[in-house]
Amino acid sequence: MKDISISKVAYCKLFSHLSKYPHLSCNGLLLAKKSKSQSVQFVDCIPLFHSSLTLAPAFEIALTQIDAYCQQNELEIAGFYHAFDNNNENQPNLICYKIAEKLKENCSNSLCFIVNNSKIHPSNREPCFKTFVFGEDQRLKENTCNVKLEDGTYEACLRLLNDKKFNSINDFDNHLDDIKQDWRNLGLNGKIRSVESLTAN
Amino acid sequence: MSLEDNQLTPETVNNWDDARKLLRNWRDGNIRMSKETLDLWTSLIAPSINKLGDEKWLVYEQVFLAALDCHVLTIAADCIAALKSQFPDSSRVKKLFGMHYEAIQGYDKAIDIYESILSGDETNAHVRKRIISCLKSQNKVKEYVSELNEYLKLFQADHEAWLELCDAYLNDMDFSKAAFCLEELILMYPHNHVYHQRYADIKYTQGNYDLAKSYYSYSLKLNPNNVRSLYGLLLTTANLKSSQKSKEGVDNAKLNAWAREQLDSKYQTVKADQNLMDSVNNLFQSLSISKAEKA
Repeated sequence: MKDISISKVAYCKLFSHLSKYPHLSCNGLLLAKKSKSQSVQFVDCIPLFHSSLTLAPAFEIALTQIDAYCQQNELEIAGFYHAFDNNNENQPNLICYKIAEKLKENCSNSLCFIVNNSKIHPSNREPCFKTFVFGEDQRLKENTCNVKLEDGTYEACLRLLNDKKFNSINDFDNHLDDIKQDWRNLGLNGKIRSVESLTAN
Repeated sequence: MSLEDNQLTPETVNNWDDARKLLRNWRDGNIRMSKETLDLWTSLIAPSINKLGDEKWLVYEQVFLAALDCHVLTIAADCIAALKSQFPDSSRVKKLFGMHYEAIQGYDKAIDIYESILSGDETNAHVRKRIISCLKSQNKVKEYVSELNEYLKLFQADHEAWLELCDAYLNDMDFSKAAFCLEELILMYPHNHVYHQRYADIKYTQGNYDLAKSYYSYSLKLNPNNVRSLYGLLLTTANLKSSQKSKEGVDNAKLNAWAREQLDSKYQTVKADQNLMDSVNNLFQSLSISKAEKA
């Protein structure tokens, strides 16, 4: 079984993106520290889109920029998440397959996270997704991972929810509509980290 | 003192009159602020609902829909009970009952209600759309798409329905049908830059770069600030560079350079920091025509 760990910042941003657009399908990327080992450490999340997920131009722009961003910061795009607008849907579709195929070319360890809509609320105390891998047989198949979240992640999510801070997350769609909106979400990162220090005290 | 209408936000509202105004703004503007609507309702409006006069029935309907959206069924039940006793025979209230069933996943019962409304009033577009949304919620994609097509035969000018159908085809990666929906929309609204840009996005995805270039250019003529079109123009011209003859190649390089300048100046005006600009510049470099030729 594969070991993966997800930082509080990465999980909270994924959670914020889903909370901001509960009525739409959305997707995004998970960035990991570059490493040779089998275990993957996800340290950041870049929310991508909440509309027209299948169109190529915005996707190409986003991936090229984020790839450059990763190289500067010694990260790699090691996973992506997809959440469906329909509450009951939780199997990867054609576009997930295509993205997974591309990511695999870029990073052999890459994973696909399909969000289970019934588990998003942090009171569930379990990760809100299933993980899939793009295998040698050109198929996306479910792959149970040992997922370790940083301590205090669910508490931080609850906090974001109660303070309505999740609305301040910007995805790449927001950025393309208004380039002032920064897809790196540096401000929100700070807020999530400050929750961290509160719980530590 | 009350604030001006356009300055009202959920944070600045602290009295009954402002809450009423804000709810009215959202209702008239068709703005989906369900959680905020419920907060205003419980904190300010509900305790003195009768001060609203006849407006209260509209507010009941608005709050009912917001409550369904947030799945707060107790508030929804209160609102619909009030509406039912005031308007026992109204089809508008009947429709709300149908939506209540939808919220608790009783789709068959909801569809029964909608069909009984339609049997008395065939042209009720809202109710027809509810039936379509029942199919969508149940993930019956084929039925949903064909029902939406039937609907559009009857109500050809409903641009929201065309957009919905376009999204359905895009979701299915059926790009030529999605493009058809946008052609309808462009005919209806020839001056809407977003439709031109969206059409170009689809054509680019299909690999038809020439057409994409024309539509991106036209959308920029309508609105020079459309960032998606500027990026689209960069992408299409970069993809076209090798396949074009000398004259067109020169035009292409010009367009490419122009789009890059426009984007660059937009990032300058928002004072993007160095780290972000490094990513953007990296992209510019990979899509630049003149540099690639020199190299």
